Amino acid sequence: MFNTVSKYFSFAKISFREKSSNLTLIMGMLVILSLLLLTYNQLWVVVGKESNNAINHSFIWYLLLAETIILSAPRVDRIFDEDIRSGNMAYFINKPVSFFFMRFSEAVGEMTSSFITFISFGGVLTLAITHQVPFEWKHLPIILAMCYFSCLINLFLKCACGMSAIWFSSTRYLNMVVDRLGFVFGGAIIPLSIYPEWFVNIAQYTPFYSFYYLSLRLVYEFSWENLLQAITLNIFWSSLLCAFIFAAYRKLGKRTQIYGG
Amino acid sequence: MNNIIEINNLSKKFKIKKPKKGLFNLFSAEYKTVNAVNNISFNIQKGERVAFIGPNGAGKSTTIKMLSSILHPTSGDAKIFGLTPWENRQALAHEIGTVFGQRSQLWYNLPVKDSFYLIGKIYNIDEVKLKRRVSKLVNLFEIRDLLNHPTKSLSLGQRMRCEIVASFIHNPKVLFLDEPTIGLDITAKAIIRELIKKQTLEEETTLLLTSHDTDDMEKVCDRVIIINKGKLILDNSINHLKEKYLNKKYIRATLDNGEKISKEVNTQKMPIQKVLEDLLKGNNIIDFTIENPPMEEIIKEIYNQDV
Repeated sequence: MFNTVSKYFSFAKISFREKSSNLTLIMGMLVILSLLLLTYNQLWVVVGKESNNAINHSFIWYLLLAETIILSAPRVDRIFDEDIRSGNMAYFINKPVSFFFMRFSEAVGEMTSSFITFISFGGVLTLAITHQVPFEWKHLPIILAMCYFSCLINLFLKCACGMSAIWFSSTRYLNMVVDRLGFVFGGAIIPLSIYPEWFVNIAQYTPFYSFYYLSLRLVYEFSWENLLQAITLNIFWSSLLCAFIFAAYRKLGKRTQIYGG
Repeated sequence: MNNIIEINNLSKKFKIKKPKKGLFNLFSAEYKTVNAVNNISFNIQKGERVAFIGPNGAGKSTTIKMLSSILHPTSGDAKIFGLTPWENRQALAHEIGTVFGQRSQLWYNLPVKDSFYLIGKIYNIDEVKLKRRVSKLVNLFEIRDLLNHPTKSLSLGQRMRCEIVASFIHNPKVLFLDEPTIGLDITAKAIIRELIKKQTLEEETTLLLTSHDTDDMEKVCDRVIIINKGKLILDNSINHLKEKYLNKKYIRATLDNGEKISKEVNTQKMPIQKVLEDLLKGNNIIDFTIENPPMEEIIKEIYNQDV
């Protein structure tokens, strides 16, 4: 058991280190994050002026966490798609390693590196923009843990998209649709609390509602009830996604066919 | 007899979808069956180095993929250390090493040393032992300078040396090399062959090597199995192959005026001594060589006989 954990931890560790050393990519992503935070802050300032209300700084913090989930996710869907389509996956069958866990561990390592970068840099930038935090400092570890959990669920979702390569000729468009649905039903840019009620009623039946909105609203609406609701629903959706991924993975193992050369 | 690999009537058929035109044909797919491997049987003993030769589409790679647990056969049986490869993947994983010339087992973006480290982790090799093992192989294959380079920046020859080191890391008892010299230049091929032979001899590794290049089998192996259209057409020692098909000789001579003469001789029709005597008459020869025909030609002859 220890050896197995250590094996997959090594994949995550190496990929974490690799991602952390890619300074050009990190700088590029931080520029994108900064632009998003500054643009949306300006938007909320304008909205506040127009409606004669004070600017709601908590939405900028919410946006930081939502963008961290979006930007931290490696393109694991594309990796799975390519590995399945090219038959690369089959070449790991005869090695004492699970191809899925290997790729997943690599993705987790990469994601964790990005998560730390975005949260630390984005946190300082958001604090500089808003000069305040909408949460109590003692709740910060819980909020960050929930955000990380959401990143993992997003990763599960991407894995599920990638695994769909068994049925679809290209998963690129499927992933694009899933990403867009996340923006709409998860409230990845604007919290669902300001959407119409009928829309929220629909959104709550999607996984995006739980891993974006429910997890991230803790940043400005922390309560133990909200936390419990977020944890419960996130566990439900992640279990469902895992079940789908493993069913697809088993099917894939049976359908593997490589042609000689 | 100490057979490590036993293959009995192994067959593999592929069902390939026929391309069809028209919208309505989407719902009625037609398939054709291709016999990639057709009832082949052979055994390999411990420490043997066997070349598995054949033209494109002969079934070499498919056989290797079945033996290395990647593919299920359609019928027949194979045993490696008494275990069926496709049913005992995990049990055999530590005993088998593979190199597929056209596939990399190294991580494309990572430095080579990280790939070796991860491969060691895959096989649960203790870190101290792993360092010692990698160090030994790195010295033997002379790749120390490449360790910090990402795989993507290596030349094909450099990459192939690293691939072979990667396949030796867990000290496999059986090594399957599928076209390990494909695309390499003459110098790189020669180095790779020499290193493979040296390492397999030292550790008594059983080797099954597929290649289009007959030099690979001559330089590395001591036995050859020839396969064509999925059927086994010859299984013998390299020496026997040479003796049986070596009735042709090439004589090349250099005269004192710099002129070069080349002659093909069928020794069954004319003794080589007679040809040499004729050549020496009226010519001042400063150098001459008698060469066997290239292995390509020998194999072509066997293929033709088979047809």
